[in-house]
Amino acid sequence: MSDEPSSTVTSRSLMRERAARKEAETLLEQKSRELYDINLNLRKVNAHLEDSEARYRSLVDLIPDAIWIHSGGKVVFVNAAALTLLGASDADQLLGTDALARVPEQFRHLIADGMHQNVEVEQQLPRCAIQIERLDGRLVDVEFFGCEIRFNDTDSIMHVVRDITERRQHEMVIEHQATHDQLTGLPNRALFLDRLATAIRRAERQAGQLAVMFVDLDKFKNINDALGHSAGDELLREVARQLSLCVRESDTVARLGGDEFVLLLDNPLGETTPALVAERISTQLMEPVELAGQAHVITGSIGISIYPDDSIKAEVLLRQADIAMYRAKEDGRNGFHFFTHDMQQRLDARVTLEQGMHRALQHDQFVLHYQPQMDLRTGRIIGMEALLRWQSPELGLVPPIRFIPIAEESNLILTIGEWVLDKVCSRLRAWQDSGVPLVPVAINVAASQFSSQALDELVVQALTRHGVDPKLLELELTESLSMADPEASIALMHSLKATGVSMSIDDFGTGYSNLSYLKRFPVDKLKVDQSFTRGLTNDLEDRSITTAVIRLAHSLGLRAIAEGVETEGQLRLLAELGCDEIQGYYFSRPLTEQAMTTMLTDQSTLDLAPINRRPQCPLVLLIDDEPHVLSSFGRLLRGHPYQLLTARNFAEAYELLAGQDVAIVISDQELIGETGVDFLERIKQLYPRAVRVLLSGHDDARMFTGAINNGAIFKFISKPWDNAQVLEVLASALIEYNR
Amino acid sequence: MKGVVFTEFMELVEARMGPDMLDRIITEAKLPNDGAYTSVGTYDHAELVRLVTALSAATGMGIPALIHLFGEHLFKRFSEGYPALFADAHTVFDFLSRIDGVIHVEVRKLYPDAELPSLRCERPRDGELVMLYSSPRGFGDLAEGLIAGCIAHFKEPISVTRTNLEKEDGMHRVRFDLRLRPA
Repeated sequence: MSDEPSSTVTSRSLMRERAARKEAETLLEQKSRELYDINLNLRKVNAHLEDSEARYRSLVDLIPDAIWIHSGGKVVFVNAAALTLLGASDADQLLGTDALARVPEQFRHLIADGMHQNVEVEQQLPRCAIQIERLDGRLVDVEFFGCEIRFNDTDSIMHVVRDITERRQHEMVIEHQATHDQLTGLPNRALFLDRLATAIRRAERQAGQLAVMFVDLDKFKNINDALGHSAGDELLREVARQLSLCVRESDTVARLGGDEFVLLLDNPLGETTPALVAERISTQLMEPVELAGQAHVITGSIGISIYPDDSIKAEVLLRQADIAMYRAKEDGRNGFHFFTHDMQQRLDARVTLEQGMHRALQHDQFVLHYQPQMDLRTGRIIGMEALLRWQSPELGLVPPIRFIPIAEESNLILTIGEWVLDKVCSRLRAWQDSGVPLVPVAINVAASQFSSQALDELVVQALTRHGVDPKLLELELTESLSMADPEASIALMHSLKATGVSMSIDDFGTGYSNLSYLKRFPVDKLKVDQSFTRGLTNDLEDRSITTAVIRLAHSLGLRAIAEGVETEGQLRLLAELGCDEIQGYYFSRPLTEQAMTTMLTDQSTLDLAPINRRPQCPLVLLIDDEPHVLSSFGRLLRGHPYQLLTARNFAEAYELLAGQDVAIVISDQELIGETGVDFLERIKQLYPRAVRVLLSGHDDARMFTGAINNGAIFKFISKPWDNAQVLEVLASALIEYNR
Repeated sequence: MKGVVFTEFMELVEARMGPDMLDRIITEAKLPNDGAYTSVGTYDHAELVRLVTALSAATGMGIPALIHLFGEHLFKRFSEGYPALFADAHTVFDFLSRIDGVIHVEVRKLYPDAELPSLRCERPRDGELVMLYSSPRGFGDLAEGLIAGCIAHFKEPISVTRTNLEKEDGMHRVRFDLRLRPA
C-alpha cells in the first residue's frame, strides 16, 4: 500500500519531468528561432553597413579633395585624391607617416589654427590657404581644413585639402589681364600708377628722384587709317618693344591706351638722365618699321615730369608729363619737353577760356561784327563777312585768334558755328523785314564743322527757320580743310551747293592745293589771304601769288576777292591785277550790327577814284630821310613839268608806288633798313616801268656796278648835286619812261 | 519569476523532505502546470508563494523561515552553477555591490523579460554596507536568505540587521544593514 502512493508519486513526478522537458524544448525552439531571426536581421544590418561603408568609401575616393586621417600623430587613412595630390603611387607610402610630414614648417601653426571640432562650423569658415609638400618635394598651393572625428573607434583628425594651383593660375591670369595691356603685354594705366605711387613712397624715404615720360606717337591715326588696324597694332607692339629697349630693367614702360605710352624712370641718374632716354627713344623710334610690306618711319613726342620738382603726386606727375608732351607736339613733334609750370598756367588759362566760352554761349556774350566786301568795278557793297567777337565780362574783348583755335580743339566750335549760322540768318531776316538792301553774308566754316556731315542739314534748317533766301548765305571754307579729304569735301560741297548757298575758299594760297581737285570744287570765289595782300606793294613773292590766285580764279570762272586791304596802294594794285572784290580796313573795319545797318541803308560806296587816277604830269618819287633834301628837290622842280612825291622811308615809298603811276624813282643810298641799291633792285621787279635813279654821297661806283649793269639803276646822282645835272637826268629818265 | 527559482525550490524540498512532500505540496498548491517547471521558463511568482504556503502547512514551519532557508540554498546553487559570477568578487560586499550593476545586467541579456528586484547598495563607511531591497513582490525573506547564503559562501564574520520599510509606489522595501565584525 505504501508502494502504491510512492509509485504514484514517482509516476506523477516523471510526468511532471516530461511536461517540463517538453515545455523547455518548446521554449528552446522558440528561443532558437528568435535567435535565428535576430541573426538574420543582424546580417542584413551588417550587409547594409558594409554597403554603406563601401559607398562612403568610394565617395571619399572619388571626391577631388584630398583627405587624410591621422590618429596618434600617424596617418591612418588617405583617399585617392590625396595620393594624386601628394604624388604617391601607393597608399603605403603615406600610411603610418607623421601626420604633418607633408606640411612645411611655416604652415603648421595655420593647421593648428584651422582645426575645429565641428564639421558644420568648419564648413562655414573660410578655409586657410597653405602649401603642401609633395613626395617629390614640389610645393602645391592648397586650401586646407581640419576637423576632429572618430575613425575606427579612435579619436582622430581628418585633413581635407583642395588643390588650388589651377585657380591660382587663373587668378594670376586675371590679375595680369587687369593690370596689363592685352596688345603689348605692357603694364596698363592702373598698374603704372600703382608702381609710380610705390616708387614715390620709396623715393620719399630715400630722398630719390623719379621721371615720368609720356610718349605719344606722331600721326599714328594716319597709319591706322591708311594701313588698317592690324598694321596699327603691329606698330604699337613694335613701339612697346623698342621703348623697353631704351630703359633699364628697373624702369617701367606702360601703355595707357591708343598710341600713348608712359615710362617711369626710377632714380634717373648719370647715363639714364631723362633727356638722354628721351633722345634714345627718339632715335630708336626713327628706325624704319616694316608695316604691310613697307618701311615706315615714325616719330614720337615726349613730355617729361620730375618727382619731386614738379609734383609729389602720381596722378599729377602723369598729367604734367602729358601736358609737356602736348607742348612737344605743338613745337613740331618728334621732340621732347620737360614740364614747366608755365605750361600748367597756359593750360589753366586755356581751361578758363573754354569754360568762359561755355558761359559766353549761355549768356550771349558772343556778338557778330560785319565787314563789307566791295566790288572794284562798281564800288558797291556786294557782300559782307560775319566775324565773331567775344565780349567777356571777365576777360574783356577776346580776340578770335585766342579763342577760335581752342574752340576748334574742344569741339565747342560746332555749337558756336551753329550759333553763328542761326544769328546770321536771323539778322538777314531782320534786315529784310525792315527793308534794308540785302547783300549776301559770308560765314566761316571750321574744319570740324565741315567734317560733321550734317552741315548741309544745319544750313537748310537755319535758312528755313528764318525764311532766308539761300542766295544770301555764303560759306567760307578754308583751303586746308577742303583738301584734307578732297573726295569727301567735293561730295559735301555739292550737297551744300544744292541748298542754294554760295561758297568760297578762304585763305587761298596758304595751303597746298591740288589744282585738279580745285577744278572740281563747286565754289564761287577764291579769297586772297590777307598775308599776301599785305605784301602786295613791296614783296615780289606776295605779288606773284596774288597775281596767280586772281588769274587762277578767273581761268576757273570764279571771282577773286582780296581781304586785308588797308591802303590805297593795295587797292590800286589789286584793281590793276583784275581782282574783283576787296575787303579790309581801307574801306571799313568790321562793324557792329547797327553800324552795318546804317551802311547798307545808306548804300555807301567805295571811292574808285584812286584806281582810275591818272597824273597830269610825270610823277617823280624821291626817297630820302633828310627833310632838307626833300625840300631842296621841291624847290628845284618847281616850275618844271614834274609832280614831286616824297617819302622818308621805303614803306612810304612802296605805298606811293602802288597808289600812283610813278615815272621816276630817286632813292637815297643810305636809308634805314635797306640800301638804295637793294630798294631799286626790288622796284625793278615790282614796278618795272618806273625809271630808277640813285642818289648817294659816295661816288664809289664799284658799289653800284652790279646794279647798274643789271639795269636796276638807270642813272646816278651824287650828293651834293648840281641842279642842272639833276634836271638833265630827269629829262633822260622821262624819255626812258616813255619809251 | 524565472523557472530556475521554482526548479531549485522543488529540488530543495525533494532533497530535504523527500519526493512525497514535494508531490504533496504540488498537489495542494493546485498549480496550473501541476509543478512541471523548467528552469528556462517564466512563471507567476504567486505560484511559488502557493508552494511555500503549502510547504508551511505540511511541515508546520513558518513561511519566512522557509523562504530564508530557500534563499540560502538558492545562493549555494548559484555559486555552483555560475562560477563566472564569482570570478571578480572576493568578498560579500564586492559581490552584493555587483548584483544590480553587473549580475542583473547579465541576466537581462539572457532573459530580457525577467522581472528583477532592485538591490541598491551603499557603502556608508569601511566595513559596512547598506542594501535596499525594492520589488513589487514581497520577497524580502528570499533576499535575506540569499544574503545569508552569500555570507556563508565567503565565510566572512558579517552581521545583518533587517529593517522593513514602508511600501512606496506599490514597492515592497527592505533595508539590510551589513556590518563586518572585527576578527
